Amino acid sequence: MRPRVDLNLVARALRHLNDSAYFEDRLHQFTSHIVAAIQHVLDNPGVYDAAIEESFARTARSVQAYLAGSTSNETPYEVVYCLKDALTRWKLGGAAIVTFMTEGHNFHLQPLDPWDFIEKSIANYDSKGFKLVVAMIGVPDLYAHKPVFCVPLFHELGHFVDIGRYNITVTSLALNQNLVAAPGYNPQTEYFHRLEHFADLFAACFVGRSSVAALEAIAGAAAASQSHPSTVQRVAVVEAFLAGRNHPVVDLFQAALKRLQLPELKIVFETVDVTPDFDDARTFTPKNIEQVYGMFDSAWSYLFTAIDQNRNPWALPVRKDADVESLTNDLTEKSIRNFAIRQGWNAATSGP
Amino acid sequence: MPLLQAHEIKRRLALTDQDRLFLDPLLDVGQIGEVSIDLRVGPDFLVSVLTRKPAIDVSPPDRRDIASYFRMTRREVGDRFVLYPGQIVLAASLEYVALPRSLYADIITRSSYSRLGVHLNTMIQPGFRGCIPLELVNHGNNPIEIVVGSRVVQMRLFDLPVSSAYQSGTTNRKYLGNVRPAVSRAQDDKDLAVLDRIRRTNP
Amino acid sequence: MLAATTLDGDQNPTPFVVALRILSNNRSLPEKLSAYLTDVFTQALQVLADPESITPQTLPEAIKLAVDLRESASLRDALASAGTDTISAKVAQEILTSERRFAAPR
Repeated sequence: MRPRVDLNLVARALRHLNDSAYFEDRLHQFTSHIVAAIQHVLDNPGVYDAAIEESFARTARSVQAYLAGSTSNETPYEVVYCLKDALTRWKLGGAAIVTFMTEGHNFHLQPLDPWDFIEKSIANYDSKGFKLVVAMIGVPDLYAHKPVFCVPLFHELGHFVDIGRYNITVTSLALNQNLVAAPGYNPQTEYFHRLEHFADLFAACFVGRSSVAALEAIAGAAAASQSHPSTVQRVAVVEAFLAGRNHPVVDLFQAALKRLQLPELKIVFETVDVTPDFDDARTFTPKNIEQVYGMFDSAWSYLFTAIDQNRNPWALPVRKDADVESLTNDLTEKSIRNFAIRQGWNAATSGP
Repeated sequence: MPLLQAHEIKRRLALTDQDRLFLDPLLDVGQIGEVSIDLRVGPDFLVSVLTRKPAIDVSPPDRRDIASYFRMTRREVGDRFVLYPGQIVLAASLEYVALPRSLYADIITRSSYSRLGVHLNTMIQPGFRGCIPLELVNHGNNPIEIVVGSRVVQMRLFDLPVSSAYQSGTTNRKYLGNVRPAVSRAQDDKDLAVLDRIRRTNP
Repeated sequence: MLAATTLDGDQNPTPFVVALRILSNNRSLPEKLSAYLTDVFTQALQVLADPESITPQTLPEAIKLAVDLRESASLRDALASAGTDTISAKVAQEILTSERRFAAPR
């Protein structure tokens, strides 16, 4: 449809969303500001080039679509809690995370920054300094209450930190043309492959080997394509990193991160073993957030070992894989939630 | 069955073997009273909704899934949830509880909430694992604001002379390890199929 | 599948892309967008000459453009001869085509 018509429709939809949805306060403000920027453009016909209006309409439509998809009660809150901590370690503690439900195995990131667009292109609009960074991440609706299966969200967060904020992979390309994707050099493939390696390594810092275990489960036999390295190659890079071995791909990114004065890729999680607690159908009690991260890898391993070995530690009269999966994911979710609750309580009860 | 008192409750909480009483998170040791432990209401609620069906039917064959009569909603700790007069809401304790096989528990509303018209009385089997189900009903005339994380119920624990297995018989416990409110699984009661056959063969 | 993907790679154009589109249609840029584009081109040529000059303040679009310029001699020449503030519609279109290579895959 025509951009100005679409902008009007989007503004109306966003107003309705803002009035009816349960968002954190910052997202309500975010939505209000987008509506105000749209209204500014609508109130000033002819001031902005048609290309600007058309592009703004697309951006606003995307924001509306992703926010609308995030208002269900199916947000994986516990995983988002961990993702927010991860962002803090990458100087993005002020960012909001919005998850929206998708179909199939579709985890993806929407690298959208409406404020950058508004600041540069809607020049006469004054946002009064409001500039909330929002990471919009797609989660398969089947996995909403399945934190173990949500480890790919850390990979998507890696993409957000990279292409959404700091352009680490592009910087690595500028600094070093050494080939990652082979044979032959195709700049586009080289770029796409590096994107995936960075996101894999970013995720591995937090959730360990489960970051590529999820990949092996979804696409174990995938060969290299234009957009992705082969699964075998991706696993090899992550395993080398986790083992502390040198690897040229890791070196590429560490050099780019150093140039951009960003944190280096390093292991954040603390290895834990949920087995004694989960075998007794009890929650695990992490001592710190690093152990919470460690839970993902341990719970992944616990779940698939239990399935592969037909384990039944709870003496269920009728053992089914579905019950094993459900209990493992629920215990993981509740363990993380309890940690978050304790942190909140301790913060509220300490000090004057 | 001896009712556990404070010192014994604390002793059991400190154990690490199969006789341990497990409660996570125990945010305030002050929750342990002389003969009970206060439990808090958790952030998830299943609210009953009206549908086109005149009644919730638990018996075969043409029955609608009980879950369709409820809608899940979630709050954060510290948020408020309004319980309307006559409304039933399924909640769950904030705490994940694991009872040893030698303990049985009664869950009742704390006096402060009983006086407002909120009533709950449920039993928890030895060996239970999960967040305690809280079927909250407001018998009063006024809506009541419940703060998520507040201490609404109390748990009394009884020591059994003989330990009891949580999983026994030929079918699984329906609500093992629940971490959020779960709708009734009354439809899964095997007796209903038997009763239906009796009904069909009645003259 | 574990991919940084948008539903349509060109669905959410950046200010850089929008500015190039305007120029490629022989229209003039608003002042702020024009100044921004000049910054991008200036920084891109600096990064091309010396990648170690990249700092946290270097515009990401400039780094991307520098990588593109490294691959394309014709683009390098066009930018060098035009100057960073008088980009022709043809050059703008060439840069746009190059920029699309960095659009995330589906």
